[in-house]
Amino acid sequence: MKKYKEAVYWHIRRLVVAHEDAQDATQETFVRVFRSLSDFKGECSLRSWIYRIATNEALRLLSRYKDEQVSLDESSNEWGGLMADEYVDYSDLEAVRLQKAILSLPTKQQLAFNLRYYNELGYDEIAAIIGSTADGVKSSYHIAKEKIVKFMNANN
Amino acid sequence: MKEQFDFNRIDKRLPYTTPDGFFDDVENSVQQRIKQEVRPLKPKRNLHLWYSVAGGLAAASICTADCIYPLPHTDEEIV
Repeated sequence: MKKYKEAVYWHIRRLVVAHEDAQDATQETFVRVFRSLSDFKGECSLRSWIYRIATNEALRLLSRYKDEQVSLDESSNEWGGLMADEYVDYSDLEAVRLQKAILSLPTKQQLAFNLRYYNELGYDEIAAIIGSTADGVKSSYHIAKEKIVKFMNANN
Repeated sequence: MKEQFDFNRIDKRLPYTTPDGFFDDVENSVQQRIKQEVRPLKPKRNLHLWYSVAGGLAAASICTADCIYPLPHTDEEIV
């Protein structure tokens, strides 16, 4: 856990934004990892397996919020969490804007971009984590990068 | 002229922070939860083994008792 806890937390945090949500999802990830360690068949690397569990936890949490948001307030913007969280350094405007740009992407592109850009994982490994192909991930990553540059230049 | 966005300028910088000592706390919380989950799962007793041992002991004690206090043999027919 020592080896992966920070990487897993930041991976989840970039997806769910709010610190408390990332904390819950990180805890849940490692509890699940420990619970099902005996089921790990070694078909992929341990790191990929942990990232896959972490990604699923983050997406599970997001889909729960999406359901609640639709029923409570359909007009809420996508990065409401980013604006409300206590553990965000709003003085770093460019970094905040970059996260907004990433959060505006479809989930697959977000995952491809984050895992490639921040975690520096290979396309094959990302494909194993998100259940895609290496070519698909490569394409998603490049599209995401272009969209981010466009967003950043438009909101400069 | 507007400055164009450059990934190299921002690199991997994030605007997110965490509370002090957060990563130690999260590790402790996970360990606590795992311990709580493991504790109620006491190993099941092997009842077959206990029955076998108990049965064996009972048989052995009957044999021992029979050797020490043999039943009197009579020629009388039991009616």
